Amino acid sequence: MAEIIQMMALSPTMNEGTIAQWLVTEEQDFKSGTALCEVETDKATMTYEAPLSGRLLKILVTAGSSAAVGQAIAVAGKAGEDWKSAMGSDTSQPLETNPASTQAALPELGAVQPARAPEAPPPAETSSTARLPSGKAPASPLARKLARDTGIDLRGLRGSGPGGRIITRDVQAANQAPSAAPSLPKAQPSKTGTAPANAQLRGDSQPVSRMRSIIAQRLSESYRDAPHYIVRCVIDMERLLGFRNTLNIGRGEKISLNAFVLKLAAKALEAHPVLNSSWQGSSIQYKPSADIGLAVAVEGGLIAPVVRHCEQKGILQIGHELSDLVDRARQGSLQPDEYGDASFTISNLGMSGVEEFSAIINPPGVAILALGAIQDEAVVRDKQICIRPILHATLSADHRAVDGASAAAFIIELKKLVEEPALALL
Amino acid sequence: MAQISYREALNRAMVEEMKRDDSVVLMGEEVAEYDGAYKVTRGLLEKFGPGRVIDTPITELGFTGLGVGAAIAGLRPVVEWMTHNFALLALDQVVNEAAKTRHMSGGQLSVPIVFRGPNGPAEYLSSQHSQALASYWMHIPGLKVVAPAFPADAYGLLKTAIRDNDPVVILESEMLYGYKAEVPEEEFLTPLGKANILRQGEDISLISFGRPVHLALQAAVLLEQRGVQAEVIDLRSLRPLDEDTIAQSVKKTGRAVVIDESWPAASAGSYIAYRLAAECFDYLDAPVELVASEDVPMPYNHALELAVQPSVDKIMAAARRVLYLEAAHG
Repeated sequence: MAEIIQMMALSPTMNEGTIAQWLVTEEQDFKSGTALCEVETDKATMTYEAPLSGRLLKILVTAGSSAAVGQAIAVAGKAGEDWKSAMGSDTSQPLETNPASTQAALPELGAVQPARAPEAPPPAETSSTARLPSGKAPASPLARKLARDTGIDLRGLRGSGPGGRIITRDVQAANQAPSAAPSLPKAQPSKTGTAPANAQLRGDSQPVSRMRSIIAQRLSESYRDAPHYIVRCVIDMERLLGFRNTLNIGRGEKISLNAFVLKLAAKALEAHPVLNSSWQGSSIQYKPSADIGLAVAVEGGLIAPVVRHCEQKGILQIGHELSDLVDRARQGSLQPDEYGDASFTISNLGMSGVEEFSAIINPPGVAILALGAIQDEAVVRDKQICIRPILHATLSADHRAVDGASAAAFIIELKKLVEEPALALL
Repeated sequence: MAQISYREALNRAMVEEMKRDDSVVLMGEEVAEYDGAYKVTRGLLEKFGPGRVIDTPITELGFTGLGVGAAIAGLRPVVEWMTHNFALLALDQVVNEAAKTRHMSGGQLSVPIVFRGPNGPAEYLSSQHSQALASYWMHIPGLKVVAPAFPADAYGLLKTAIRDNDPVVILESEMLYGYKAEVPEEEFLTPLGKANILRQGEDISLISFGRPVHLALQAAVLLEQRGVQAEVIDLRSLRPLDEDTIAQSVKKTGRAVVIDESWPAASAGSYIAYRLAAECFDYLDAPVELVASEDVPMPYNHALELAVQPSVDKIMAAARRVLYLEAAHG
């Protein structure tokens, strides 16, 4: 069988060589060790000794031409063999036969074990609050500085670094989730917009209201027991905003954006029922309907009224029910069956102007979707930079019931539906 | 712009400087008749004659001292060491004479000399010929030390070094002599003490010099595929060290991996890691990582020879640690 003879690295730094002359001609027999040709390397002219015995069938690189290390320079074989039989599909590509060249000594890109993407950190499977012998929490200097600057008390944080070290992303997470973040009192005035009311709180001690107590208990339990992880995506809102404007032309009661999101989320939940479930310890209960809660800020706390059977209802009905529920939530007149037992929850802080945030899962659901403000951003479409209204969506999911792949599939499904609302008709 | 090799860039720098200034002379083992052990001085004997391109005996202490004396007397010698491994024999002349004469003469004398040659491992060279000795020179006040990783820097730094009025040690790399890249055809000088940011990034700083810079660049490509923007800094000079550039970068990224092909103890890399810890303490989200050669004499076995040196894999592992991309534990 005919074989390719490749250019060899004749010095450690040689990447290519020039054939000075061939010492064996085509159709001539040679023995292993015979000088086949002379090669000018980067340092000197060297003879190239045959690595095998046989007949030189074909010279591919003629005298005066150069070849990269690993490139085929000739074909050898038995008398009468077709030299073309040795040629693979592509012989022009240098093969990395000799690790002596600088490039070849470096590992192939693919050989490196892939790192986990930073978008999906492993926050849940870490230790609980760790302590140094001094009683301080181990924390990176940058995390300490960030905590000082933003008024976060490190003592209440769980570190996701090695040995429970609190690292920057832990402090950032605490800043994004005010209900779970143990902030230092001194930082509060600068962080809140309602200065007059909060100014009265300075130095005060107040009994915890029943609502705060329930929030504290339920969300502590959720954050403690449900291993939260976060999946983010960026959604182009141009189509949906246009669609909504069209539908709202001449309409008395405008359909809110939240109504669209509830409807499209219900559609996405139909395709991904894993997200529409409840962790029961020894079983996972998959809900028969998409009962979607919407977190509403009210005096002294928050509440999440639920629109039942979103998958069956039209957008007008969802919008109508939602507006009624939100109004009554703010008045404090919701009935218990109007806010309990959401199978999925949405929290929208868009109106407050934050770009993105993450939320704590609202039990008994296994996921919550946090929506930031829709803002014009420069994005790349068809290799052009253009300005689009962009929404940052963040899904927190309970790893006991939902794995990352499912959460990712759900949020991408939702993104597709929002970016192309006509898909919801299918 | 022409693509020329690292060795051609060094050669071009010497030719230009020898044409420009008659006081520039070259000496070393095999630099004249043989065109240099690594062919860096090819053609210089023919161009400038045996009066300025001088083959010396195999005696590093002798010809290095000759160069130092010639520099004090008014010439601008370029002394080629066949490799930095052999320069260990010349330590006394460099450390005690070249580096100290300006200081000890109260500024009356200067030593405008360049010491250059390949540093660090090549391949199949075993323990005595594979050493990365940057810290031997970086340790000494009175010396300037540069380590070009690219042909353009090899050219620009060598020219600046020849014109400098103090002793400059150049750490070249045998493995880079054949490396080709663009070098502007018009003459230019590269300043000593100025790092080069090869790649901008927000998430992690990869800091290196000499040959491992190319590994850092490869790691940066892999990190980018995983959504991590790495800033890659080629120090180019070790002394003076561009502390401003690296500190600024690490204050931005909060994470640093220093890559140095020498051993870890008392090395350029460990000093840089210390400076970063001191300058950037409040900005670090993880301890500074040092990727160095394993702390053993270079093995001859080729697999082991490669295994003890910094690699893209080792840089990626260090990057994952400072980025907290390893599975958290504890």
